[in-house]
Amino acid sequence: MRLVWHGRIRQPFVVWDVQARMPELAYTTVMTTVARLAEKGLLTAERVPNQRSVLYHAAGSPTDFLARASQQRVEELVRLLGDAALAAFEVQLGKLSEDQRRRLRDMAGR
Amino acid sequence: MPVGCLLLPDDLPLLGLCVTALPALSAIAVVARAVYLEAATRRYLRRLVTAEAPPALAASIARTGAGPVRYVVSGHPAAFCAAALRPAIHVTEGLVERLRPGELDAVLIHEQHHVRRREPLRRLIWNALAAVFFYVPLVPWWARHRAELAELAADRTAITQRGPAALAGAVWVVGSGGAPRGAVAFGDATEARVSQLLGEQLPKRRPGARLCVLSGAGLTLAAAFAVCLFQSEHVLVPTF
Repeated sequence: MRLVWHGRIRQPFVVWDVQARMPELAYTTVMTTVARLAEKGLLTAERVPNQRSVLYHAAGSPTDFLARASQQRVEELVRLLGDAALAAFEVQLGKLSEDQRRRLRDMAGR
Repeated sequence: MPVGCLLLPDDLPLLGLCVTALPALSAIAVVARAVYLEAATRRYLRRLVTAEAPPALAASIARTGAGPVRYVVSGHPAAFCAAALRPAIHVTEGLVERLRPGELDAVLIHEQHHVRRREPLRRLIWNALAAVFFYVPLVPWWARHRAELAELAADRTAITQRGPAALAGAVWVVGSGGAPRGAVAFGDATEARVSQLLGEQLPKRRPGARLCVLSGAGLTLAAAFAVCLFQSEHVLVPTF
């Protein structure tokens, strides 16, 4: 991803472009890695019409990736450890009655 | 002398052994569970991307005197107090963007109450106790009830200092932001917190008779099991 983000591999690219930068790795190894990066949402894949090759683009900048990863961590942290190891300001309005929701909203002025 | 008793004085009665060994083993299990949970929390906290507090948050920190506060880069609206030994308030970008100044103050005051009371440490210990003493249902029940009381106390501090409207706004925004999947454990606290905000009578929380009976049975069974375990060691192990 560093090669893509830093522009050392031009976008869009195919698996061969990555493998050319890493000749010590087998083509299939690079292909699997690139496909997994696409599955994880770091790359977007676009199939070329009438061809077997797939064109890849970076799905966002490193900052976007870090922000997305951090968001997942926050959600996991609160979900997994919220009632065990930390005091989270977490509420579930779905548990409330319609009347309570209305009064809470009025009080909040929202 | 039985092999199993080589390290023990001959006159130590069996019941005495159980009384000594069971709490010791339980204490080790509680500490192990607490250490595991704290390590998991720290692992998650280290992976969060933090940034310098934006002006709105910095102003709120200055007004409320809350701290230490970490600003987390995440669109999910959340605030929490974490880390057992050195608790810190974590506020996300998504929350700061959505809240009005008074509402943000209310959240910080609420979390600061947890920092002062070392709530993450208390919660960690009670959760570990609840996990180890699962066979005494009163312990998990009290752990949940105690956490709810802590949330209500923190809310009261926020209401006293910023008024109910500010806290209601924060609760509304966080509740509307989409709770993480599976966070059902907070459902009961939500009900009580909103009831307190609206000035309604708080739902009564008392352990039922069934819970007490089950706890008594669990405790008796555990003690009987321990006695049997130690007794079998005395009977079955060949003597020299």
